[in-house]
Amino acid sequence: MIDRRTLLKSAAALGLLGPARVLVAADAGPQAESADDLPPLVGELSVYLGRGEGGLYDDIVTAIRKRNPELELNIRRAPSAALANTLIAEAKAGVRRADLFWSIDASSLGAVAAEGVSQPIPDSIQRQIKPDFRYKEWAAISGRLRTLPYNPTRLNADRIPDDVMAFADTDLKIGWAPAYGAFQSFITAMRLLEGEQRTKQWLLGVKKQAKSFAGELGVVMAVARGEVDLGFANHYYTLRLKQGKPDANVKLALTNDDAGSLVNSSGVLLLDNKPLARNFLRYLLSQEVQSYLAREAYEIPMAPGVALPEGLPNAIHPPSLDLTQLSDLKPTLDLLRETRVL
Amino acid sequence: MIAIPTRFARTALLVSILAGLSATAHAHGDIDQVEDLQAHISDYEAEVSSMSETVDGIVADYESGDAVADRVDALVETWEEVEYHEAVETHAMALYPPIWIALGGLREAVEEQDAKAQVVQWQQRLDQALHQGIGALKLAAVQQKNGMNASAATHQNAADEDDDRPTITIIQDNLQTVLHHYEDGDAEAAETLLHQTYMQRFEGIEGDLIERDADLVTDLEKDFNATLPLLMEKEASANELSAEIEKMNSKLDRAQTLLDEAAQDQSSVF
Repeated sequence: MIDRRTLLKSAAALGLLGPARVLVAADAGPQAESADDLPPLVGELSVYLGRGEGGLYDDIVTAIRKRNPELELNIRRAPSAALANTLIAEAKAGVRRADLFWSIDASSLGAVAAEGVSQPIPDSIQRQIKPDFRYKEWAAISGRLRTLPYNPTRLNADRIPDDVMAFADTDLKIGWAPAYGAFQSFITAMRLLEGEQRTKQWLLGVKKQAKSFAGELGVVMAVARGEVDLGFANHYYTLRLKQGKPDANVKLALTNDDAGSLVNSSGVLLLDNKPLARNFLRYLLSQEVQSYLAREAYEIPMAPGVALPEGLPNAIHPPSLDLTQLSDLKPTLDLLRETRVL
Repeated sequence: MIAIPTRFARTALLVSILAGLSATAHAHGDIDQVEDLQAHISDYEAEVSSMSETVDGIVADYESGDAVADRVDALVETWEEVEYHEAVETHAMALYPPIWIALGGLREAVEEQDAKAQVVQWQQRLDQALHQGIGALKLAAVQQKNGMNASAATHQNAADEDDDRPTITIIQDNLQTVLHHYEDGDAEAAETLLHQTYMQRFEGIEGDLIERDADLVTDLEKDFNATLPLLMEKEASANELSAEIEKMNSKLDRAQTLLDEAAQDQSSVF
């Protein structure tokens, strides 16, 4: 049985982990490049683009096209997992149609990278990514944060543990969405960080006080209605609900350096050595695109110096974890079934 | 205890996640069994038929007041051992969790001595999931038989992925196709398309909608994951299904209006 200490030791040996991570509202250090400083994009480029946040990714592509009239951009859109499968099949057949793969989840990137068909991210581009989110094989673009939406009329913030594992020992009424992908990634992260036995005990403990919902928007709305004290949900549901209903009875709390504050990320895989592909990636990491993702999609920018979405706490302490490991879902599903959470 | 529609919604959502998992599993080449599906389809059908008959017997005896928990456990063991299990896990991963969930629901309902009607509902879910699995395997067998190489697969995928129509239009068109499938007696195809439409289309636009009308989003989620699937499951008339789709279309029209407003308020990238 692998426990957190063993895992962290192994991960450190592999160079996957840096020091404890901190995401802050505005960095004093290096700043993201401005698109004004980037070279014009000229030539033909094929991008496989996983369906993501509404049409916002399309809007970004359209804006880049408009700004670079000599760019001949071929976009192929489909679910990220389907594109990953296609890329792998193409590679096995000796075919390469894409220059770049932009996926909404790290696990699809990991699956393709594991086939050895991608190029390492150059150091010059790594420097355009926050240090704690630099990976050799892929470039993190924007993140989604696990949070604790709570109802301030039912619960004082000082009653909320900052250790996610402590929730099994509280008497709080909790909302969760066990069938939701983000929740399962959260439990996968817990399993990887804390070990299977502790995760199982946590599931059994929280289950006693939990109410299940089909999705995490449902969790957040139940919190706002006062049906539960607190829930587990990705950050953007609360931020979007508050944007539409500023007086909704829901606030966000975070845990500290554990699965409860996991940041999962979208990202890019470079599939060839074309300078054009690398420069396209630089556009995605530019100040303008990163700000747009934070402003319109409430995603967490991965370029340094770009403000976090409005409404998030000023400092976030996510755990260190190789995000591609989150694709290891089956043991998580086994645990959820074993504990009758699913 | 979760209400039935919610459980059903959970199934649909889980399917979306495991569709991705399936891709990953194949990607790594960890699962490489069941090389000749076509040769085994009749075996799978026989196994499913046998499991369905077993469940019929269990439910009938439960209704008579017999203790049947051990037999449900034995059924779970059977499911874990049959070839059909391996085939679904390998070639139709999206249909894998609904089978497990239905088995779990049946076991829990029996253990907790739920009302007979609830046990029957889980029986129906299980039966439906098992037969959907057969349908998916038949499709996979055809693809396997045609020897789809990467190039062919790529070409086929391209046909349905790049679609310039507005997402709401795609959703509404898909709902009409769902109705046509149902009218033609192909409930499996109808339900599969409904789930795909929710997972691949609706979830992508819910962000902007939440800001403008979160209740509308949860209402539509319920339609996709509970109202329509349950109508199909209880074999409602096509007219009933059509009436619900009409209601959804009205909600989707409102969603389009809200999305248009959102687009006007949206800032530019550069």
